Amino acid sequence: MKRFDHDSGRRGFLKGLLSLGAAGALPGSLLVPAKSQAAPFDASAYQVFRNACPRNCYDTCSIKSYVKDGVLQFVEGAPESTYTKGSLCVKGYAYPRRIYSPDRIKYPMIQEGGRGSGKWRRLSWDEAMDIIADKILDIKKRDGSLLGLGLTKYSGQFGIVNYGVEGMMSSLGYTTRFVGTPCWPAGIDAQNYDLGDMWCNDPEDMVKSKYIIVWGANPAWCSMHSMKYLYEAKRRGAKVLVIDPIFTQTAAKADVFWQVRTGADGALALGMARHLLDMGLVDKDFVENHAVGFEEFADYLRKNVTVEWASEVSGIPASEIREVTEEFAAAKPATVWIGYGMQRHTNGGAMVRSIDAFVAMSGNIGVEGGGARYGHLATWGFNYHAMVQKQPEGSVGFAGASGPKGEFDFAGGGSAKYSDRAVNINKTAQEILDARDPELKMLWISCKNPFAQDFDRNKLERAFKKLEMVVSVEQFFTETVKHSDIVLPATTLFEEWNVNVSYWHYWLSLNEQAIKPMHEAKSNIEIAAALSRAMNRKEPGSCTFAQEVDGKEWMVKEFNKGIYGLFGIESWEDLRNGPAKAKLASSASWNEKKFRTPSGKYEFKSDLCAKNGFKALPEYVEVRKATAPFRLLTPHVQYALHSQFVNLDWMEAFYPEPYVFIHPDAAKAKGIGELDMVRVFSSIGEVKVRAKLTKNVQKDCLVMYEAWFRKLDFNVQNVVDDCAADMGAMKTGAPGVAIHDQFVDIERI
Amino acid sequence: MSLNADHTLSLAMALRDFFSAGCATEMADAVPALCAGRTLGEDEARELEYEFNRLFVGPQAVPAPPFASIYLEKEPQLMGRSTLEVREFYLGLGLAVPEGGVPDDFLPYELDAWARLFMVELGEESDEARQTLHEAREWLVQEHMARWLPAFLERAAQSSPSPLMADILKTLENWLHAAKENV
Ligand code: SF4
Repeated sequence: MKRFDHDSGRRGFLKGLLSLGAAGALPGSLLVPAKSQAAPFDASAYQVFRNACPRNCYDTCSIKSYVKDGVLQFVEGAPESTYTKGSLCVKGYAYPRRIYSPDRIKYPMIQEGGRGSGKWRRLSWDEAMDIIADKILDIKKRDGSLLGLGLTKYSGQFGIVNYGVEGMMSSLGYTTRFVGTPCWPAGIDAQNYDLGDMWCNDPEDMVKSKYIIVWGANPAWCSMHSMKYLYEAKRRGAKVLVIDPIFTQTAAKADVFWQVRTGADGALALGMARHLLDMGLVDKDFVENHAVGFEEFADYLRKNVTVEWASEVSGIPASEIREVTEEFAAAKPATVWIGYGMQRHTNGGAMVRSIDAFVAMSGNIGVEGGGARYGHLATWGFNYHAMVQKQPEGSVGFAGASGPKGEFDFAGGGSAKYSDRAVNINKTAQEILDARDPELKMLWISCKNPFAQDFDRNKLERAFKKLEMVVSVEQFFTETVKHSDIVLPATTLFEEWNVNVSYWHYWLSLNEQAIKPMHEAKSNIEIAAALSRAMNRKEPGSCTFAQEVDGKEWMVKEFNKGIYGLFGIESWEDLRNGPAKAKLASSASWNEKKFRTPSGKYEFKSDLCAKNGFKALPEYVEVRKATAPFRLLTPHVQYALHSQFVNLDWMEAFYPEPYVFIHPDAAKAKGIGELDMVRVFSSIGEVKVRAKLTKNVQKDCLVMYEAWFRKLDFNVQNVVDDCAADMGAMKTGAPGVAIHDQFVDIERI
Repeated sequence: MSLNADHTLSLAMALRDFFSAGCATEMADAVPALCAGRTLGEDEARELEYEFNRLFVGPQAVPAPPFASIYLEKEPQLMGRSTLEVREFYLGLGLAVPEGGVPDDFLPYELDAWARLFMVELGEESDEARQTLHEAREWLVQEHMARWLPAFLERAAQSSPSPLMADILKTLENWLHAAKENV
């Protein structure tokens, strides 16, 4: 193609004709005279920015972004972080594709003619905020409080400044909050009972491990940066065992793979614990000096657990249980990575406690290269400036004390007269249906896609009908947006200022605004400020949120001396040179063996756990009983994070359609052939999808990876109900959810 | 069909106004010039707006995004090389798109640039200046707009446009034809 001749003489001539008034008479013109300094197009002029991947992913990558002509050209993993180490995952590399996707939501819009009608009209930001503010004031007038306004927000876009969404809600008054987490709550509580907190070793110290058990996690897909530590440990002679009901990519890289019966992990861990006991392999110093309740636990094991029993329940041969247990005990240090998948069960917390107990008995707690690794929030000590906002004078709310509002609620509960109304995020549909006095009338959704992620989709659809107004803050047209009245376009990480840390590694990353927001996208705090302007215009004093915000200033306000000290930096600006890692006295958590339990010791026996309605000891708890012939697992796929990424054309190329994976024997019995269209169904709904036959799954198990395809109506939540996990309420405000205790049948169609 | 110069110019402006419209009223205002004087009632205008958003705006993924780079890049995206090429072209004219996050190759901007060039050319007396303006306009149409608008029109046509929208798209097609011939 020919380029336009930019010979300077001519160009100057054109410029004269056009911009100096010659075309001034063109009515309604859109283009404007170029600013004189506008002279880009220097091929070498890449600007480099620092970003931090805000996905809910173990890895929380530090990103280096290359911008030219105001356009993000490409991204790479920051080489300065030994964790990210110069690489991103397939999702991270797709970021330029994501921000410049034509499918992004561009403007505030309102759906007229009913949700799902597809009759969308553009709104200016002011119009949108006026409509929303009117509704909020209407609710306040009708109910005398704002408890009819609900917020559901989770981890769709991490970054400390994004807690400004919760801040926006508080700045309006006392509202209804969907609290808890579908992710990891049962395990969090379990670790709190045992250790007094959830605090994992630095994952980078896995290289020191001599024996690594990856129990119910698939880092090859979901924490690919951790794999290098597994490989290095192996290179140094460590053995890696993967325990999973699915033969995963991680399992393929392991020395040993145990295809455990789903939900039997607790029995397996107890069998291993019993064998430690029998062989005299218990770390005496630890259980006697740093723990309480060990004798009672040992007694429980002797009376109730045998290796044979554990083998029978879990499906792992007794000889292997014995062999691995002995090897694990002999290898010092040895570690277990406890995945989030294995606690998404009705007995999930109990199972994590059993594994903790096994690791503790083996003497691997507080040891570099050891540990019962689950996660941590040790680096999250920010100011939460955006999040902590004051309710307007005279606000009325829920009378009574407020519990935790989730694991990331660092604001702490005050002793105010009123509080927000907390409802369970894992039962979104039921809570909307059940809310009374006042009913839930309006829902604000940000950093979350309930229709892709909340359980029992059909019930959710019924519940949404009860709502008078649904506002979604989104980047793409998800099913949730389809079920909304108003959608507001949200910025991506490259279009806003933020700061981000991980719940797994110990790095801190700055997130600079690298490009101007595309279209009319705004960040969450800019949206809050816009809403505050509208609210105060209509009713002065009705919203306390700042009416003007500067993203960079608000990012800076999240830092404090504690963070600077922990990361050994003078100022946030140091992070412009690259991410910083926390200065750790030891890579091992609990290295001083001072536990945060009531006793100050590791608690094999936890009175707190008993007080909360569970067993004091990490006893065996049977998993949810089957209600249909097949167990259904719906884990994460490599190419997506929940509903994020699979809607991009690049991902579609890799992963064009979903499948249900079924064992060939099971398929044969059901008359199902490779790629046959099938119906996966239960009492709550069905999914139509093609079948793939694989021995990677067990005979009584089906696997469908959770994802959202822009051209398909595939949704695993059609057949995942909202059955609760055992634990989680103590630390996150609501119990977890038994995502992997789901039962379905399957037939060819 | 062939259109005279004035008509081609006024069509370019009406098309610009239509495709940059943000609401039913703005769309309805542009329609008479595009559809032989036709005027729309309020309901018709509203339905046209919904359809316009379904085809070109969103919030759902749209079948025919009105941005050149979607059709000109090897892999469709916004802010591609072709977008920057158009930006460079505008700069050559001493022009730029207004502040904000709309890509430079948004159809209405291109129509605006074309109309400006043509307008100045029509009123210009110096042969040399006319020649330069003509070349610039020729590049914009032949080397740029004519390379993506047919694909855009095709995609819109395949997305069940209403008869009214089909008329408007036909007008765009006619304009492109005239603009190509005119240069
Ligand atoms: S999704 Fe996870 S691994 Fe991928 S770039 Fe983001 S943080 Fe890194």
